[in-house]
Amino acid sequence: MTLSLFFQHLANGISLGSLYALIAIGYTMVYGILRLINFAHGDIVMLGSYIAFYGVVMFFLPWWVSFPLAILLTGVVGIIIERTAYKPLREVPRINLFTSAVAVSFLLENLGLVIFGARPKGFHRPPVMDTVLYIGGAAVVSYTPIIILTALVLFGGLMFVVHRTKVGMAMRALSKDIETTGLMGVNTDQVITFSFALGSALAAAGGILWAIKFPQIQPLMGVMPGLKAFIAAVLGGIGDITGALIGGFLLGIAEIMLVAFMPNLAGYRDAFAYSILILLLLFRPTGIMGEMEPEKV
Amino acid sequence: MLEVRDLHVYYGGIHALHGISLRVPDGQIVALLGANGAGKSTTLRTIAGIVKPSEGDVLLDGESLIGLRSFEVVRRGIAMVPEGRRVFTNLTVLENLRLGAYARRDSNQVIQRDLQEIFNLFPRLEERKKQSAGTLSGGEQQMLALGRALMSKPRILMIDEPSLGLAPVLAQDVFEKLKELNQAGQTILLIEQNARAAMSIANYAYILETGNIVLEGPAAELAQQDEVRKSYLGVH
Repeated sequence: MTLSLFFQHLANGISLGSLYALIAIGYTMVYGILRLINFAHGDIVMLGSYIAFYGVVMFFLPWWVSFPLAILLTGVVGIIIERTAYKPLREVPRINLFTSAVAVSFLLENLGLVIFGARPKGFHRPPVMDTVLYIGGAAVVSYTPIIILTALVLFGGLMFVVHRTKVGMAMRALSKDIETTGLMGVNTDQVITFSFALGSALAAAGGILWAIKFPQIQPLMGVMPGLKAFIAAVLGGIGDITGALIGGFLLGIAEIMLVAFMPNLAGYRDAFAYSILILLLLFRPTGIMGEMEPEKV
Repeated sequence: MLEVRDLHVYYGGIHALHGISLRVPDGQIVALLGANGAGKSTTLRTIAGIVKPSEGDVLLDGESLIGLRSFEVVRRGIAMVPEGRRVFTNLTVLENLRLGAYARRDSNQVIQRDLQEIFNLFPRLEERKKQSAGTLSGGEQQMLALGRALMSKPRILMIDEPSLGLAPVLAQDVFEKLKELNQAGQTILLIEQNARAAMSIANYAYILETGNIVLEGPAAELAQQDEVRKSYLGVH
C-alpha cells in the first residue's frame, strides 16, 4: 500500500469516526445523567437528515440555512421526546424507562416509513462538498475534510459548554449525584432537558454529515449508525464525553483499516464492530476512560 | 424563623415521622438529636423538599414550603449539607463552591467576594481550589460541603451529621466553625449523633425517638437531665 493510499484510508476512517463520535456523545450524555440507554437516539440521526433534506427540496432553503435549522429542530424534537416519554417515568423502575425508549425508537422508525415513505431518497451534496481535492498526492473529495472539520468545531463547542459554562458545570454535577445537585438550587429537570436537546442536535449534525458521506436516506438509516455509535460510547467508557470521542474515532479508523488491509474480510465489517463490543463487555466493561467503581451496597 | 408543624412522613410504607413540630428561631443553633433511625434525616430531607410529607407544614417566616422542589427551597433560603457530605468528586473545589451559588442572581464580583470569605474561613480549601474534590480528605470534604452550602447565602443552614466518619479532632474543628458562623449571625439546624458535642454549641435541642419528639428544651438544661445523660451522653 502506498503512503498516499494509506492517508486516504486514514482520512476516510477519521471522517467515519467523527460521525460515530458525534452520535456517541448523545448516548453517553444521557447515560451519564439518567443511566438510560436511549434506544431512540439512532432514529434521531435519521430525523435530522430528513429535516435537512426536506428543507432543501420542499422549502427551497439554501443548504447553509436548512442544515443548521434541521440541527435546531431536531434538538427541539429531543426535548419533546424527553418530556413526554422519559420524564414521567423517572421515579418508576428503570426497566419502564428502557421499554419506553424502545417504543420511541419504533415509533420514530414507523412514523418515518409512513410520512417519508420506505423508498430511499437521494441526498444532494452541496457542490462545495463534492469537489475533488489533492492533498499531498492523495485524492480526497472535499466532504471528507469538511466532515472532520465540522465535527471538530462541534466537539470544541461541546467541550466549552460542558467545562466552561454554568449549565455545563451543573451537567457534570448531575451525572454524579442528581439529588445533591438539586440541593445546590439547580433545576435538575431543566438541565436534563438541555442535555437531551444538546445530544439530539449533535445526532442531527451526525445524521446530516452521514447523509453527505453516504448520500442516500431512508427511515431505517439511523439503526446501524446508532448501534455503532453505541459501541463507540461503550468502547470509550459510557458516561464519559471524552471517551465517546475516543471510542468513535477508534472504531471508525479500525473499521476502515480492516477493510483496507484485509479486503477479503470487508463483509465482516459490522461483525468486527460487534465482536469489539462483546470482547469489551467481557474484559473491560467500563471502557477506555471509565473507572472501575466498586459495587455499592 | 423556620417552623415545622405536625409533620407526618411515610417512607416506603413505614410511618417515619409521627407528627413532629419544631422551631428554629433566627440567629440560633438548634440541635436535633436521637439514635439511628429516629427520623432526624427524614425531618431534614422533608424540609429540604426531597421527601414529601403526608401531613403537616413547613413554614419559613410564615410562608409554607410544602410542595416546593428542593431547588426552590434553596432559592427561598434554606441550604442543606447532606449526610456523608456528598461533594462532587468529579468537580474541582472551586467548581463545587461555585455550584453552591448556582441559583444566585448576584454579580460575579459579589460572588467572588463571598468565595474569598469562605476561603478565609477554610484556608485549606483555597490551597486546594484547583484540585478535584475527590482528592480531599474527609475533614476537608466536610469543610467543602459546608462552604458549598454557605455559598447560597442561606437564611437557615441545615447540617446532617457533620462529625460522621471524622476523627474526633476534626469533628471538634467542624463544631468550632459552626460556632463561629453562628456568632456571625448564621441560623443553624443541626442533626448529630454525638449529642455531647451538639449540645455544647446549641441553644435549643429536640430529642427524637422513632419518629416522635420525646424531649425538648434549652440545650444547657437538657444536658442536666438524668434521662438525657443516661441515654445520650453516656453518663451513668
